[in-house]
Amino acid sequence: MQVQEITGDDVLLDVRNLETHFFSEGSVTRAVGGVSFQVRKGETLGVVGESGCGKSVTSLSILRLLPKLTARTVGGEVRFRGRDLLKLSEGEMRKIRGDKIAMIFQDPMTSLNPVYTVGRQIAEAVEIHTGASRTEALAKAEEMLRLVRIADPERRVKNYPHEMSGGMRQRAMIAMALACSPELLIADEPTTALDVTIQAQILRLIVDLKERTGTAVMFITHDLGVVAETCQRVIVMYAGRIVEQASAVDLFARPMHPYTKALMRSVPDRRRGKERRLPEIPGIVPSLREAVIGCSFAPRCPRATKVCREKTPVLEEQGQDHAVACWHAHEVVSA
Amino acid sequence: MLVLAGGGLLMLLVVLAVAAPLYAGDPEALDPFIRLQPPSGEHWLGTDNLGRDVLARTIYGARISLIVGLMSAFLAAIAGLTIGIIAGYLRSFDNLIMRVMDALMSIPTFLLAIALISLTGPGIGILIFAVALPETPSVSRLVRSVVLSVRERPYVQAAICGGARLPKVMLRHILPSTFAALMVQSATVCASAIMTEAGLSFLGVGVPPEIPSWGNMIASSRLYLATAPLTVLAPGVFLAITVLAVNLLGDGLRDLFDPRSRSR
Amino acid sequence: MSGPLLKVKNLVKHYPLRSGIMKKDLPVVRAVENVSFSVEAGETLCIVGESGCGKSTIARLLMRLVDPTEGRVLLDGTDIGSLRKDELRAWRRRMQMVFQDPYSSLNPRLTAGQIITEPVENFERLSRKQREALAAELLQQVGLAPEIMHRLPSELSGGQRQRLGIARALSLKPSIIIADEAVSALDVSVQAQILNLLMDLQEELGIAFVFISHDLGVVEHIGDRVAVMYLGRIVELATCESLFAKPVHPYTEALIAAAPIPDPTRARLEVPIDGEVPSPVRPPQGCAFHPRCSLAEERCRTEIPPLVLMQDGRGVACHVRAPARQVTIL
Repeated sequence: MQVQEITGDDVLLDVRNLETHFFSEGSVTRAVGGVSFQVRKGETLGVVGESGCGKSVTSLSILRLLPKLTARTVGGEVRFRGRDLLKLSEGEMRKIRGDKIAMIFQDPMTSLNPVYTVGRQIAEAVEIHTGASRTEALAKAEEMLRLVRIADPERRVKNYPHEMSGGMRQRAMIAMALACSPELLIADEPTTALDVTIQAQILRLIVDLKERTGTAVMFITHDLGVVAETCQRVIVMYAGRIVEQASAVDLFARPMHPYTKALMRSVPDRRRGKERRLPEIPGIVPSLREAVIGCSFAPRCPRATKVCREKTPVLEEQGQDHAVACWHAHEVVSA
Repeated sequence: MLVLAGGGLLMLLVVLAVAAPLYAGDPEALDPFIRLQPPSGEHWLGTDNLGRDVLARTIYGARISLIVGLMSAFLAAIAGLTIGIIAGYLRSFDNLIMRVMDALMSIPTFLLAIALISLTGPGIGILIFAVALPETPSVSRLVRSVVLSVRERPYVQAAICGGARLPKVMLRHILPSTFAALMVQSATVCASAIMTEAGLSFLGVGVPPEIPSWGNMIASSRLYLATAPLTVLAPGVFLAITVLAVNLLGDGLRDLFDPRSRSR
Repeated sequence: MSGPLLKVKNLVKHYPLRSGIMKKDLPVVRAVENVSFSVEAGETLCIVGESGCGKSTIARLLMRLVDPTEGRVLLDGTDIGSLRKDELRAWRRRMQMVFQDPYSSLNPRLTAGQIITEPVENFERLSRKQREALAAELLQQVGLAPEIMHRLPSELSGGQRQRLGIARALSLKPSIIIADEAVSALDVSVQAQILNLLMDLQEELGIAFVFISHDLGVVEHIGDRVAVMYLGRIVELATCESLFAKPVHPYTEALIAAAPIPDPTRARLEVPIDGEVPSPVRPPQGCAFHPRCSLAEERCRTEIPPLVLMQDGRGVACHVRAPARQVTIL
C-alpha cells in the first residue's frame, strides 16, 4: 500500500519526489534523493534529522534559494496551492517568497542587513508586498514588533541589528517574516543558536502566532525535544530521504523506523532512569556522493538483512497517518 | 593562470640574466667610434653615447634589477616576518614595535635611501638594504594581523595546553599560516623594489655608474632620446615587463591562496 | 593524598573592554566573579549556564590560558598561579583540555598521528617507531583505527575529530580533563558515542572531569556534581541527583523547566522566565538574577547573596530560598 494522498483544499504545500543535487569537481552529492510530503493548512510540520540529512536543502529547494553555481533541483514537483513553484519564473517566485511563503534562519544576524534599522527592513518588506506607503509600512513595522513581544517597540524600530540581543534579533526576524501574513512559514533551526530560556520564549512565540494567524509552519530542527513541544506532524530524514512520517504523538509513542528509535534513545533522558551507557548508533552517515544501493541506514542498522542491502524501501503507510520506509517496520515496533 | 604567466615570464628573465655571459657581448666595452648607432647586425639594439652595446647592457641590467628586487623582497620578508610574529605574539612589545614601524613608514622611501647611500657611498649591498628597510613595516603589519587571528584559534591554545614551548608554538602552529599572505606581500615588495632601484640609479645614488643598470642607462641616455630612442626604450620596456611579471605572479599567488577571490 | 584534586578559591576574572595603560577606570567585562569549587579525583563536576555566564572563562582560567584577576587555582595543593613558566609546563601534564569545535581545535596541516603525539614529544624525545606505537595505542584507546594516523583532520568526520581531540588530551596521562562544550557541536548520535567514550575512559583510568556544557540533559547524564552559573557567579552547587530532583535556586528551576522534553504528550511549552541575561559589563546591583526573578525581595536588589551550605549539602546563593543566617557560609 502506497502512502495515501490527501487532496483537496486541505493541502497547502505538496512536495513530490523532490531531488536536489550538489555539483563539485567531478562529483555529484545527492543531498535530497526523492522526497515527498505535504504541509496542511494551519499545521506545524516538524522536519528532523542530523546534519547532512537534507532537511535544510529541502527547504531551500522549495523556496528556490539554492546556491546557483553548485546546486540544482533535478527532479520532482513543489506544488503550492496547486502551482508548481519549480516552473515559475524568477519574477513570479519573488512574489511568492516573503508574501506567501516566508523563511526564518538559524542566525538572524546574517539575514538582517547590518546597515539599516530593523524598522526600516520590516517596513521595506511590507512596502514591496502590499504596496503600502512608507508611513503606513513603518506603523506596521512597529505593530509587528509589538506582536512579537519586543518591549518598547517605538524605540526598537530605530535600532540597528547589532544593537539587539540574539533573542531580540530572532523576534525581529519573525516579525519581518510574518509582516505580510504568509500562508507558510519555514523555520530553519530558529532557536539552535539561542540559550534554553530564550529558546523557550521564542518557541512559545512561534506557536502562539501560528495559532493566532493560522499560518502553517514547517519547522526544521535537529532537536527532538523542540519537535515534541511544537509540532503536530513530524518527518524524520536520513541521508537525503524521509524514513518515517507520523503525527508527533504517534511518532514518539511508537517509533517504527530503527533510525528514529535509535535517534530517540541516543538523547540522554532521565525518564528512562540513569543509564550507565547511552545507546549509540554505530558507524557514520553514508557519503551521498555514491549511489546508495538498498536502505541507506542498513550499514548501521542492527536489524538489517539481505533485502535491506539490496532493495531501497519506500515510504509505506503502516497505520493511521504513520508511514515508514523500512523492510522490517513491523518487527521494529514489536521489539 | 596568472601564476603561470607571471612566473614563466619571470623565470625567462632570470635565465636570460644568469646566462648573459654565454651569449651577450661585453656590456662595458667602450668604442668611441660607434657612438649612438642604430640597430645593426653586430649591435642588435644599437649602441649608446659611449659606444657600448645597448642589448648587452640591458640584459646585464636585468641582473641588477632582479638581484635588488628579489634580495630586498627576501630581506623585507624575513625582517617583517620576525617583527610581525614578535609583535603579534608577545603583546608586551606590540605597542613599541608597531609605533617604530609607523615612524619608519612615515619616512619617504627615496629620501631614506638617498640619506643612507650618501652616508656610505653607492653599492649594491647598501642599495638592497635601503630599499628593503621602508618595505618592512607593511610586511610586518600583515604578518602581525595574521598572527593575532591565528593565536586565538583553539588548536594553538591546545598546543599550549599540551605543554608546547613558545618557539614550538610559533614555528609549528602559527608560522605556516602566515606564509600565504607573506608570499603575496613579498611579490608586491619585489615589484616596488625594482622600481625604487631604477629610480635611485636614475638619480645617480643607486648602483655605481659603471655597472649597467636600467636606471643608470635611462639616466645617461635621456639626452639622446631623439637621436637614439632605443637607448632609453630598451631598458624602459624591460623594466615594465619585469614589474608586470612580478605583479602578475603576486596576483596569481593571491588568487591561489585566497579561495574567495578565486571563485570570481 | 589528602584534600581534593583541584581546588578553586575566589576566582575572579575581569576583561578590560578596551586596552590602555594609563586609564584606571575603564569599563570591564565581569566574566567570573568570586567562584570557588573543588573537584575530587575521578569525579565529574559539571558547570552549566547560558552564554555569557563565565563557564568558558573558567576553563581558560583552570588551564591558565589566561591569568585570573584574583583568586587561586590549586592542583594537588599547589597554586598553579605561583608557578614559573617552566614549572607550569610540567603541571600542565596533569590537567588537559578537550575543546568544543572538532574542526578548529586541530591544526589542519598536521596528521592525526602528529597531533596526538605532540604533547608527549614536548616532554621527551621519541623515535619514529615509538611515536607510531604511541599514536596507535592512543587511537585505539579512543576507538579509532590506527591506520588513520597518517590522515589529515580534513579527511575525518566530526566524531572522529573529536576522538582525536580526546586522544591528544589523554596522551599525557592527565589526572583531570577540562571538557569545554566537548559534545555541543556534534550530532546526537555522535554525541552519544563521545559521551560513552568519556565515561568509559573515566572508569578505566580514574580521570576527573570538569565538564562544561549548556545542555542539561547531557549534564545530568555524565555529571556527579553540578555547578549552575549565572552572570559570572555560581548560584547553585549540588549533586546531580538532588539538583535535578529538586532545584532550589529559582534560576536552576527555570533552566530545567525551559529544556524541551521529547514527549508530545507532556509538551507544555513553558516560558519559565522572561527577559534576557543582563550585560556582564554592568551587572544588576545585588543578586544578578533579581530582575528576572519572581521571588525577588527588597534585599535581593541591594545585597549579593553568598553561596550558603544547605542541610542536604548543596550550596545555594539566594536570599529567599537559602537565607544566610540559618546556615554556615561555604
